[in-house]
Amino acid sequence: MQNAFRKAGLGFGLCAILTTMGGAGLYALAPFGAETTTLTPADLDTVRAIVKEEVAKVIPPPAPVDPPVDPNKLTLEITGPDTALPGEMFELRAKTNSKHIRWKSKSSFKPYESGSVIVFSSPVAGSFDFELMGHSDSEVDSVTKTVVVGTPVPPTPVPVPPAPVTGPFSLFVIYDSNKQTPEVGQMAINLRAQAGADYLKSKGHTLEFLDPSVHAARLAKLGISGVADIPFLAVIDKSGKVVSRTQLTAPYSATAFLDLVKKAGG
Amino acid sequence: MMLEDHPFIDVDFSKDPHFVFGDTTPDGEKFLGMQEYGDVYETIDDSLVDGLIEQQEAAGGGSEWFIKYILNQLREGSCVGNAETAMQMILQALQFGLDNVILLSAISMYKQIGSSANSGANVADALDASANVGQLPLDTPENRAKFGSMVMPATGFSTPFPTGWKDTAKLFRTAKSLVVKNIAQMNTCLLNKHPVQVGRQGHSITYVKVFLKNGKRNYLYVNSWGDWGIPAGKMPYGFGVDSVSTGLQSSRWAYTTTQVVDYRGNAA
Repeated sequence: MQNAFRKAGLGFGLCAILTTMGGAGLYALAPFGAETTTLTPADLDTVRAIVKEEVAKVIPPPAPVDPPVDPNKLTLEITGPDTALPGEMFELRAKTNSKHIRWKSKSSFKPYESGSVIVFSSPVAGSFDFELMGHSDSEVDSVTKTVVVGTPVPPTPVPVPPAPVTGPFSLFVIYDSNKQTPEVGQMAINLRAQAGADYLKSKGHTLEFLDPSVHAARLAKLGISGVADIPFLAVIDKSGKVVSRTQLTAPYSATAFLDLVKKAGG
Repeated sequence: MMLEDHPFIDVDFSKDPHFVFGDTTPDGEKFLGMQEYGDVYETIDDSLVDGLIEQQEAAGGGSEWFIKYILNQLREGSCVGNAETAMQMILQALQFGLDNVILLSAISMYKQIGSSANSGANVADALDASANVGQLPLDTPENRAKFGSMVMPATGFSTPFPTGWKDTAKLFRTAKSLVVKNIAQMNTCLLNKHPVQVGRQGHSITYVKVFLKNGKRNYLYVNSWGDWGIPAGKMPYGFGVDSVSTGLQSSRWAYTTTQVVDYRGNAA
């Protein structure tokens, strides 16, 4: 039965629309020349369903209606790149319904500002914040956009040459007195009373020979510890800091000793 | 100075007007277990000694350079105390420098080991007292500034010790001393720049160097008779010389000090 109705064609369809709209008992308005069929109320329900289906095919459903726009609602947005290269110029745009806007940025490089657009370029890498402020009749708001220029690299520390160590020094020969030899003794005499002594005195250096087995407490006060590299020369500056510690090796001589002192800055 | 031309070689102390008493006999068994120099330091082979002496003289000399002050015992028999005092000041000069030497009172040592002004003393007792008690600084303006009344003169056996003197005396103790019992050990001591306190013919002196004269070994010593003797090191007088035969006699029992404590009170 349903198929029979469908065969009735478009002319019938239009009639059927009217029927559907008008209600039952309008079958007398059937198209001219068409076979007359008496419809029961059940048939009318079927027709109505078919018509509804067909109409839906022809007439698209109404588009969803936008919610009503509140003219007082403030919109604020900044568009533009999130990253840039050092030296690259980029622009940020304000997208807003605010009648007045204001840009703010904390960079030491001042951006070029022209109404809703600012243009910015940084020669150095870093992270830069741009704030856009606006208002409506009822509210004030702001948004911030961060643009990263390059890859932030920690600044390379500029190597600072160490301050030259200068005397006068307190020199300490830390040694095992049980291993004193003629060579060591001769070096000591030179450094105490001969040419070596003259040099040390001219520079204002003092010199002591200390044996840890006897002078452990003194060495501790001087901040000299450990005996693994004995015999060694410890050089202490005016502030009391041990500025160098050098193992003494045979053959021992005042000349070699003074060379070490000179290398230490004395 | 040509040593052979002066009268200070092998001085016969017993005939000298300064003759005083000094005994080197060890005190009983007190030092029987004490280490000898040869137990700690490798004794230099006799065949090497002359070569090392020549090197020493070519380099400028020996421990005479560590002498800062010539002692004078005057007419007291305090030679043992004076020789020990000289040795301790030599060690101060070696360890801490000539400018840091604290002049010491020889009588503060002798009073511990002698029984009267002219009793003389035993060298071994000086070794003992210098290691265990120490001695006081010499009474000089500089030392008074540092140590107050804890000073004593160079001579004057009757001078009393100041009250509480041992607290200061311990700052001037020896830390390492060794017995010398033969000429080989004594030669090694002197070449290593360790002075040796000896006693011979009733007098105690401090050997500071072995050297060659006409190809023969001699021993330079520092005496305690003031402006007596020949110059050496920085001093214009105060030294005498023993021949090898006299040195051999002296080396039968002597001792050396190789370390003194830190007089600034920081010693361990």
